[in-house]
Amino acid sequence: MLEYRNLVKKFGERTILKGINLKINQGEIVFILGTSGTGKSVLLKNTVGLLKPDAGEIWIDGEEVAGFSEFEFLKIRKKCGMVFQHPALFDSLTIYENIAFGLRKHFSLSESEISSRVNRALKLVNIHDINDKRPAEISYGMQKRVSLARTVALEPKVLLFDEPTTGLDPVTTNAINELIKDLSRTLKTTSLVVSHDMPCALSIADRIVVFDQGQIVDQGTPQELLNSKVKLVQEFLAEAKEMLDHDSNVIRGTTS
Amino acid sequence: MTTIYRDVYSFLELVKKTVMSLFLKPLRVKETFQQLYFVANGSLWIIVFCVCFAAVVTILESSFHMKLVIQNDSMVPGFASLLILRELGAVVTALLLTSRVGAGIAAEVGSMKVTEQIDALRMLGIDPIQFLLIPRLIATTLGCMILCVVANLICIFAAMIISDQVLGYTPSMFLTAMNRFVQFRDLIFSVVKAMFFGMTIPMISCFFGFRCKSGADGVGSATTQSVVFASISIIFLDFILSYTFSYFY
Amino acid sequence: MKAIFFFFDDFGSSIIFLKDILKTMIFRPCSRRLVFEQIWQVTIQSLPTTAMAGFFVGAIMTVQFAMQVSEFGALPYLGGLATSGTIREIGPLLIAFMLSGKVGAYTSAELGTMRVTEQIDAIRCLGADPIQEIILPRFIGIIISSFFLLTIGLIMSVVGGVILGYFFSGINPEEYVRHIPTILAWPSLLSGLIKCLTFAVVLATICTYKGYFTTGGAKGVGRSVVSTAVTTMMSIVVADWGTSFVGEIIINMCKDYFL
Repeated sequence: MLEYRNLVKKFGERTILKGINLKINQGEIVFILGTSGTGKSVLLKNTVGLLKPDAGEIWIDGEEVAGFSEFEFLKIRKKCGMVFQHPALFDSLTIYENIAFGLRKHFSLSESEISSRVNRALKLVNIHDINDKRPAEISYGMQKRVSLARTVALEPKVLLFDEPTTGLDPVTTNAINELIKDLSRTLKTTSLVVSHDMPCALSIADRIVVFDQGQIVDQGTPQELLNSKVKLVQEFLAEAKEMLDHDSNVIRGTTS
Repeated sequence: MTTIYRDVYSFLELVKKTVMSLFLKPLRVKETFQQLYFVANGSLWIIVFCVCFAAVVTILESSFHMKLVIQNDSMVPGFASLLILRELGAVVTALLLTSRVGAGIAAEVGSMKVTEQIDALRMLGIDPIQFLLIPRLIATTLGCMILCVVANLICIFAAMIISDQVLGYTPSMFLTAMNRFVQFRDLIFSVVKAMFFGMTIPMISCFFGFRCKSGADGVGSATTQSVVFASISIIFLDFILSYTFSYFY
Repeated sequence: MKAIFFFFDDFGSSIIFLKDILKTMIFRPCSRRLVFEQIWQVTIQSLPTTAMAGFFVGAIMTVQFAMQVSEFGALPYLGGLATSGTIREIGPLLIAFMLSGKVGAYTSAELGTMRVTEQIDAIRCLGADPIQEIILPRFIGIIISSFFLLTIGLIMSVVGGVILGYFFSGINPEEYVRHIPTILAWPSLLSGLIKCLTFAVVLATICTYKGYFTTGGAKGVGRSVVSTAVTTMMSIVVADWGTSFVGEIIINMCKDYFL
């Protein structure tokens, strides 16, 4: 479904991605973990053409997209939805119009179809009755969910999440993680999630990839990673275990 | 209406506190000199560049008008140098400083406010007005006065070159004509104007910086507002000062 | 040396950006509603400030001219001279300085905020072209409304001149206005308007360019606002010189042609 071959990205003198090789199958939930500034977000932005790689190939659904022009990327962006780190809602539009924006641009749908798809997307993220509000009038956690709904409304085959839970309280964090899991299961989408959040990665990921200094240092299922020898992974795990001790619910989540 | 009243009130409050800490608390001498270096040395080239272009336009335009009214342009050097000294030098310098220094201060103080550095200063028992505003106030006031003198000289020099090249008045003719019109007090008044402008800029910038709202749009709007209000106040102050000085000529 | 490279780099990429905008304007025009929204917004926000600035600029110029003109004994000409001087030169320059703070800084702050909160990336992801959707309406809107605002400012400067002419040197308004056409011929008016238009284009290009390419969080927004203000003012001074110079040449050519 999604494959990176030897992907390299430089910003001026600094090399951010140093040859990434990664293959993601249909319907998988893959978590990318790593410390800040190791190029995780850059990988996502390369995938949908917001940044152009300096070398290497990106295959999406059997197409090599690294050399695509902005216009050719439009059909890729229909397939790959991206949820940003910030909610990135348009301040001047209402919530309804925010979600309808992508639908109007990508598809030629009638107004009633748009309305039903917007409402379906809002139902998926458990939000009701805020259609006519502006982004500034709702809470940050709500904005994040609307942002998720805006991407899901396009019904993409691949969902890319850039730190979906950073800066949120634990309750909303859990809700969003559950949402990611549900969406992947119900819509059969492939998900690629960039995160710092080891406990939730252990609980919902099919596979975890660990980044360091622009390279993949380790990858595997959550069970495999628990026995990892890599120091960075162990540090992440140590922190996760501390939290797990406090919250037995999450442990039950990992084993089920 | 009440919000305007409240804003003016809190601005005056800031002015009061500033004056108090200016006289009651020790000055951060090193910081002041660093700021002075930033204000004066950093803006020197921009101001020289702009003022040179302004001089060219002033000469050309004055000559155009003189030819219209009294059919010859022999008065141009005197007329233009008066215009430069009384108006252009100080105002252009101040407006450029508003955009470079004023906006810079608002952005800097604003991002300090957003990242809670100003609260951190308070927690450490440091008065942000004494720490941030006073050095910038003194530095910008001095810097504006110095730059105003430099700008006037450069502007007149450029005007001299242009009238030599385009209108055919040699420098000696230019200086003779200038001598008939210009008096030393014109320069003094210009510097006095610059002093007022130099005090206005950091006060307004810090006022908007201190009340910057959080987030990226907060810093942006604080910077924008400070530029707008400072420019308006400069034009307004210039009007009042010009009017006042006109009684001393 | 580095500053020179930086300058050319910046200059070149803003020209490329302008090319992109114009290309989008011709091949994929944005909806007219967005442009009108922008025009309305910019105009309504800046009208009081610009009018006030224009009024005081006119007032200052009248005071200055009155002092000098009375030395030549040409006080009756004050109306024409001050108006002509303001409209041809000082008026557009100072009011454009004002607008570079008001409109330019505001727009670059707005676009910079959109950039750092990833709204511009989101637009691209949702299948729209940010230049067509966001930049183009602002670009056209700013040009049209700045031109309008500058003209309003110039009209206000005449009002300021009339009032100060009355209070400062006792010229009654009727006489002041009567002398305006004697000095202010249509080439001067045209030159003032061309200046306004040039400044509007310069302003629109720089503020959209600086705002669109903002990087680095809240601090970055501040930085791009500062650099917008500085760059716009410098470019306006240069454009002022350019239009005066080119205008002079054109007027001379016209004279040769007609007379």
